[in-house]
Amino acid sequence: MRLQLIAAGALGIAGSVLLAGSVRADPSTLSFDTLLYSDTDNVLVVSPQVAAHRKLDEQGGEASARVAVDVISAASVDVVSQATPGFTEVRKEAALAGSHRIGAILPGLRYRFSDEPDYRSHTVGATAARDFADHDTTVALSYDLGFDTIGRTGTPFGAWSRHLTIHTGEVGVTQVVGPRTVVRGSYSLTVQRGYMEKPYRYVPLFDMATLADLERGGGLDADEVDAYRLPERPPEAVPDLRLRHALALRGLRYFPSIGAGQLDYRFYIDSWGVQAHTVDVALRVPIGRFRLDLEDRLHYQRAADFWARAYAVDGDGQIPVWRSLDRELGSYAQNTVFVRLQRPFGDFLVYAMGGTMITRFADFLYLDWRLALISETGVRWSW
Amino acid sequence: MPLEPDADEAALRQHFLGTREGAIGGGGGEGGGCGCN
Repeated sequence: MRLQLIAAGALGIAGSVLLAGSVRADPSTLSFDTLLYSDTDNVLVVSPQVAAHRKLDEQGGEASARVAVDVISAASVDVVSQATPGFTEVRKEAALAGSHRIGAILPGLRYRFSDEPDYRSHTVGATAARDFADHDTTVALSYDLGFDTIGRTGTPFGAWSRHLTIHTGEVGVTQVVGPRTVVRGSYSLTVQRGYMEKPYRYVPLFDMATLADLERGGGLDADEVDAYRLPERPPEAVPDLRLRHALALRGLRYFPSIGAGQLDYRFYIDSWGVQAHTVDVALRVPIGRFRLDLEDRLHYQRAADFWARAYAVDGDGQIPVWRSLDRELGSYAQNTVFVRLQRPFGDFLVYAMGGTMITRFADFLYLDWRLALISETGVRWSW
Repeated sequence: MPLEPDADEAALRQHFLGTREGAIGGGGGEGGGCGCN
């Protein structure tokens, strides 16, 4: 008997099959999801999504379409520090994908379009997967090519725009290692070339001696920036090339007395000097007709080489070549806890999730910490 | 090659986390960007 089938049965608790390349039980699925995000930095995001899937063969082939919208209202500190009162905008995203088994290989194509007032993105991709060892081993490859256009709100793209090209390649191997255990390892390389600044960000500069005095006096605070900064405030500048490597490992094991446990680890490093470790632990517990999921995700990262809490002009009056206010380039630790409950009702499956995310920024001038509340609800209709 | 319980929920999650973590990749999802930081 194939190990994959045994593992699928063991791990397929409460209607969820957790194996890679698993085949949907029903030919068609329609899904609705809505995610709400709100944080102490005055950001509110509402993200509804609708998606449809249609099975094309009995070996993993399917066609799918997904449409998502982000309604973003933000008056976060990095927005208001640029003398902007805040903004509300809508981002729209559409994605299409299709795959069909050809012999032993499952090839696929996908396309994604994202549009917002100052950012437009097209991404095309190809995937391929092949099973080995009587379906106990799956090797998957993917390549995506993205073309992004960055603009400024209120200015037509034809009047001002910059471009970013993104290549992403990934190889992954999934292995069934026993009737209750599946593991996966993957490596991805993302190459970004082009404009990666935010056109609205202008970086405050300080005289080196002033900054040294402030550091001796306990450091520079956000409310002191305008009092001590130099008159010149140049735009953000980062390198035009970024190579981003990620190595990810996932283990999934079924425990008969509890449910399914999942452990993820990702190591990330890039050519700008950012290094990150991400650990995600999840437990999925069947309780009668319900399934309860508990999850904790910890992300820690080290800052980019050119990151500074405050940028100083040197004695010759030279401003730093690379300078950024992007807090995702700084050092921080972030922990996210999710609790999720789902229950099937005939052809339908309903779930609700709530979570909290707390972020501690180690060296970001404008913000030391942030607390976010997250909720997500969804329904699946399969027939 | 998503080893995920639900691809649509994973896509929404990946988008949400991708804009709040300075690292990308390893999730088995499609690439591509947005300006939604």
